[in-house]
Amino acid sequence: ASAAPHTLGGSVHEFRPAPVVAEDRELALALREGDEDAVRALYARYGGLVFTVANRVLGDRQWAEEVTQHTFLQAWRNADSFEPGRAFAPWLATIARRAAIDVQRRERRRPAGALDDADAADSALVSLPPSAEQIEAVWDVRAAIDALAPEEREVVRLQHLEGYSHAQIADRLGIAVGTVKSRSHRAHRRLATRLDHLRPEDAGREPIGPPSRSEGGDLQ
Amino acid sequence: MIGSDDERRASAGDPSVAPDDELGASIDTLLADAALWVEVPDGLDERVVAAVRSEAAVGEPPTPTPNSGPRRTSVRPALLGAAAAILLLFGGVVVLSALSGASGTDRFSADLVSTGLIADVDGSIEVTSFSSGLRIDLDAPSLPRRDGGRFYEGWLRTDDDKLVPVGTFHDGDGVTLWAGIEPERVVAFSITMERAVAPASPDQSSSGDVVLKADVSP
Repeated sequence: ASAAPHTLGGSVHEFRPAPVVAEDRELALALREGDEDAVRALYARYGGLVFTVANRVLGDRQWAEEVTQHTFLQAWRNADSFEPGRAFAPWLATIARRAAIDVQRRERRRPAGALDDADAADSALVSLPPSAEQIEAVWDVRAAIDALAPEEREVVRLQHLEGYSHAQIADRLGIAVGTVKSRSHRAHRRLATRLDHLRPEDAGREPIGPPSRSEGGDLQ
Repeated sequence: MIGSDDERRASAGDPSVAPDDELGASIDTLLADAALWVEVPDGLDERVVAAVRSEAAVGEPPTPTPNSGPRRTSVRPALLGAAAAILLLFGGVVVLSALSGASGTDRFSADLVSTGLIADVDGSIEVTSFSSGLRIDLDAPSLPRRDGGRFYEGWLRTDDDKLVPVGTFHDGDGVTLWAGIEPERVVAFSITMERAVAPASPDQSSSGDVVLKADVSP
């Protein structure tokens, strides 16, 4: 059994392909050396995902920004305990989730007005914070969205978030319906590949992506 | 691309174009969540860097770590000591007594404590030394089951700070793991959350997402 930390290149978890994980290792080493530019690079790579997680938990952009700043400060402070060779993504997601929960609890302790006066969307009304697995899913989906080409991402956004039909999207974007369908098809294929681990086992689909580690293969 | 084969097939309703609902309900739900599409505020990167720079300017003496070289900056709050204290407080210490690596008679056990990554979980291990290696009997029925390419993995940490994988499992109910390592080199046991990776991957390192752990010392 290998005892040295190493990369996760080629993982089904495609938001961590080998080059990214190798760069994470270099970044981790720079962070441990106290290199402030490493913080900037770390933010460039993961800042949007951290903000998304925080916003998902809190439903408030200002608090999400507070959590994002806290997350990267924590990463900076604790760089010594981060092993180069690990991926930053789950570490940062965990820090962000915990920080967001702390903010949520803090805000709940503020003097409250009448419950009827509260905004129904107020995150303080949410009784349970997202689990670690739910945060993983949020992170993964956002990373998959960000990896799409801009024109494909926009089609996906209009379909899923706005609920538009292909015809409505074509009209809105001023392009042919066939173009919309084609972009949608490509985007969904990419999303299905990247997010295969989040899809239900009984989806009745053909396997997408490389075979899993649990199936044996080269690990024997 | 206008005029591409994909587009002509799509326009003709060719069934080879996959339906848009192939992602599954859980992903569809997330894609419909406005929080997933949020735009990051302008200038947040500069505010993050400024926060770090501000902490660096306040300055605390660097916290030396083993085998680390000279630092370019001197900012490290002394959290390592606090972290070590927390590990002692929550982890406890189990003493390995006279494990000679003989024949299945040398045995020790340890209680596993939660890191908080999953709430309300605990467990225990019993480690027996054989000539073929260490058998680790894990009992952690409170671990929620992981399926669908996700699972748990056990690890032993050695006295030279290396990780040895000891096996993967779906849940913690009556699990037997094995390690080809000398018992006197073991200092800690942990369980992480993992996901399946491609067989072409050259390395299979720990995710670092520790859910349960136990410190042990010879």
